[in-house]
Amino acid sequence: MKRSAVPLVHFTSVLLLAACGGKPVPTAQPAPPPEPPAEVHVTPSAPPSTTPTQTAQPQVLAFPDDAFRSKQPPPTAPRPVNLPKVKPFSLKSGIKVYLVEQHTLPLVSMELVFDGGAATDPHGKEGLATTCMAMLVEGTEKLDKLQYSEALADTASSIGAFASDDSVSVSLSSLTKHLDDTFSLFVDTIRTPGFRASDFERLVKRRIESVKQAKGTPAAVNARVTGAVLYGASHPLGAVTTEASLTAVTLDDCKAFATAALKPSGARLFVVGDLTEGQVRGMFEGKASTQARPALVSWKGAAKAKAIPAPQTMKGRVFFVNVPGAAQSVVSYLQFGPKRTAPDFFQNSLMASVFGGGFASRLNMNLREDKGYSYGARGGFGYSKQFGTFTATSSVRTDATYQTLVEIDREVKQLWQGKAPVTKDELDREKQGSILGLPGQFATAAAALGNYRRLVYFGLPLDYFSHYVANVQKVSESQVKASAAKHLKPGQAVYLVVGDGNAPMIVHVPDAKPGEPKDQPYLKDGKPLTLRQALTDLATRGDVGAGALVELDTDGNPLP
Amino acid sequence: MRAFTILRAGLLAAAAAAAVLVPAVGGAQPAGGGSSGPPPQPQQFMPNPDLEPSTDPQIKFEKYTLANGLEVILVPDQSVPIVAVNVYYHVGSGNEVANKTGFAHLFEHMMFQGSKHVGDDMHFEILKKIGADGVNGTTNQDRTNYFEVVPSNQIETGLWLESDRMGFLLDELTAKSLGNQIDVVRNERRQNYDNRPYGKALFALYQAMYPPGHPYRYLTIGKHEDLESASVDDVKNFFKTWYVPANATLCVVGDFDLATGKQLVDKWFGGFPKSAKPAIVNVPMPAPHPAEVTVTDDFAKLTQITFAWHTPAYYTAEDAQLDIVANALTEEGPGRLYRALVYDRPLAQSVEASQSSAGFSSTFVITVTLRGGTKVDEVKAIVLAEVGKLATENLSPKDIHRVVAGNESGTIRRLESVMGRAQALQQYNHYLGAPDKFTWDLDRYRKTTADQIRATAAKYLVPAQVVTIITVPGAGAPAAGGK
Repeated sequence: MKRSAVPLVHFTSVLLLAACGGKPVPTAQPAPPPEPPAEVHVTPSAPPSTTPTQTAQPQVLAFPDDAFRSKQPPPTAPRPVNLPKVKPFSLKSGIKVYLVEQHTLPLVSMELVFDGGAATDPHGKEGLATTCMAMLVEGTEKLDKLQYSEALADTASSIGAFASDDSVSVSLSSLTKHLDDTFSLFVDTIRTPGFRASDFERLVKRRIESVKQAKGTPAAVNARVTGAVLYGASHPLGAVTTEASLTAVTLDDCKAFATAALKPSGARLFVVGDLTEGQVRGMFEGKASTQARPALVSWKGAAKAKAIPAPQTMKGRVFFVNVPGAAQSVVSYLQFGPKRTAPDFFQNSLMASVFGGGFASRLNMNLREDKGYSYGARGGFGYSKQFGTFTATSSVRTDATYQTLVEIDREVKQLWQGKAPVTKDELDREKQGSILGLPGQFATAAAALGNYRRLVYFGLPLDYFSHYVANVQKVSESQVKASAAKHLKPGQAVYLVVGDGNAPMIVHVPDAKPGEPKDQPYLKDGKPLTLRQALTDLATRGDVGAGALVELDTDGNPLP
Repeated sequence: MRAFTILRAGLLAAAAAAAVLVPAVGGAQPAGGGSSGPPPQPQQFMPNPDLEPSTDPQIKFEKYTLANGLEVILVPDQSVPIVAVNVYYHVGSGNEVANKTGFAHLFEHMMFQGSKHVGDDMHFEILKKIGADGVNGTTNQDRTNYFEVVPSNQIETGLWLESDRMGFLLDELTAKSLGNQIDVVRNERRQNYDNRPYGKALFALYQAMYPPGHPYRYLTIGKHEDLESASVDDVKNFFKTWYVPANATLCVVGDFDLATGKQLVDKWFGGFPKSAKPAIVNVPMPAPHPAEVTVTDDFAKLTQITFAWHTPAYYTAEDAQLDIVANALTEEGPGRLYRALVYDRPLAQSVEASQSSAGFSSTFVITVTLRGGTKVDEVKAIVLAEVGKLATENLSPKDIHRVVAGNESGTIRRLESVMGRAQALQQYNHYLGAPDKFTWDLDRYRKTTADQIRATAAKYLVPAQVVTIITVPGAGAPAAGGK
């Protein structure tokens, strides 16, 4: 690992959003709350410096202002695009294969995906699926953990095992020249995992320690309890993994889990790389391969599906977890939305992109570029197989927590009520961006496979992208307006705030007198309000809908 | 470097969002306890006819310098109708002066705020409208880069945007936009350092390692008070000093033909005035200054110990040898410290080591996160004993081979995408003055010997010279989740 670079936009935490009208930028801020003492005084101090300093000086240069610079240059004719194709076929065992071939680089990557996942964890044993899948890569019957890891590292190969809410998977990545060896390990990982007690004990203890650590920071706490708030704490998608639930998981649970979940019939195998259909068949069904790996021959059957019940959002309107000393708060807006397969998907997506889908979106331009509260804000629809959600999230300066909630509420309501409908410019930007950017989303074989993989996950047809441009193109302003009216539900949404309850708040005063800051201390009866007081007040007023302020602990349990 | 990781994640996340018009599918999902589509694929594969799988990567490129001093690297590749535009400015936080910490990175933000012909805060808007992807910039100690992937028929818009902020940034610079980006960068610091466990330890480590006045004493993100006091004049002077054409390299990779590419570069950059390349004053590696610092961190729930030493700069032979040492210590499975602290005895959650490379000099860092109940002194003794053995016992041939194999396959993977190739060429060009250093770089690892590695470890990883940072969870702090 080399030293890190600091990016302008942290993409892992920021998906981007559309410009919204004027932008009065506050030039002066009220006295900010004291920063946590991040600068650490070091004793003993390093020796006095004799460090040379940079001597480069400014250069005075005249850049000729050519007339052609004044306008964005027009595009040339677009080149025709042939999106890489996916090849679907089935193996005798019932595995459905989706293959994107590339024959230029000597690489193969595959992932075998099974139904199941964390949503099937028994109540009281939350974390079972993720723990048991992680046990798969702790060694096989033949190789202990050290031998297994070393075998992979020696050939720069990797095998991973994962559990999401509604699936579990095992992945492989290898240079073609090592594929035979890596595939043997892949088969053993699935069919004859080591499941040693010492490895299990180490792994569970490490996970328990990780849960302890996750309770320390606002971002991690937000991630822990969001599902509990939206789906309800007893719902499979809302249940929180705790030290106690991890402690309840046993090695026998994992053995039973692996036997039941890792069945070939109905599993999906996604393959990308320097391979053909014949070669993939040969690996799973060919004589040479099955003789070397008899566990493939005996592998039969299908995993049993488990129904996921309807969610029941926690009672309350504003949910709050107190993290004393937090330098920022995480604020989330949470509601359910249409499913991914809804017929109005394209108009919904374009509406959501304007709201919170990119750097230029309304939410980001408001909270980051206008107010300066945040490093980035995002929002939009999210989908699992069974559910759709509409959410918005930002990590914001502590004193701006309350105002952020107000701003998110306003941005949602303006769209929902049609007071500030998506403009033609905004819609055109998102439509053009989606259409013109399509080839770039298929620029690598793996990216192409990822796109097809999402289609398979949602049960959408593999020729989806043949109609994509037409589907985006035909979305109208009135359709987008209808999407906002239909699917944004600020009356039913809940808010989750994780931050320092005792920190003083500001409010934004857009029409502040010249010379006065637009962000001013939030006062009630002449007294400054803390975050907890401001949220209590907000819930009491019912500005964001009826319902109380509910304080939660870091496991998502309401505090008495 | 992490810059590449972020780029990669960005491309994947953007691909998920744009291709199916779903925010957050396949990426971090705010709602539903992580319920979402399948996780993103870990790798991307780029069909590239210029890569010879059986040998080290060879990329056909043309490098030349304009009369004004701007370096240009062009790589035509017509396989996909997209173009990566990537500009390196050869300045980073290591070139900052006293009381101006965080300035190189703050300046990076200002480069997105608008220039004379592009307009105020229009960069992302314009790029969004043409279907661009992977739009970002990054700053580290040594360099700052700016990049975007555009449809190939929009190559000129990419060059227009980059040339306008190279030539006409100051025309659009206002105190208002600077004030806003100071807020944004301070939020960035809060989000990524101040509000995270072990963020304080990072600042403490570099303060303990580097003396006052050394440009590596503060992280690239900078100090709050320095960021707050940055003025418009500071920004202007920084631009006029470091962002001159002769201190930049433009790299374009993708779907264009060489003659057209040259003609377009000439149109947008050729008329810029002749400039002089600013001299960089080399800052030598500080003398070892052993220290032990204890940091109390309310966000940390587990004790963490960081061990660090000064080591030679990026792309030296020793730098590669120390990469191999880091792997031999901590690779899951064969790593000596992994075995001693994680596997054989349950003392630690994790142990990581890296040769953290930089242009003036590097640091070698080992970080151990302890299990609850483990004694700090016991871990210190184990780590320093293993480090001490490096000076007397040779690594095995397997230890060296493992890193060579990883680098060979990692190089192939990194070059799959047009932006991956642009970054790799720029990186070598920045540090080594030539873009095509793939074989040379791989040879740094392939041609080293266990004896050389031992000598390097003996010289630089001296247990008595270690700087140790111990992060202790804040015992008195109220726990999160209470009233």
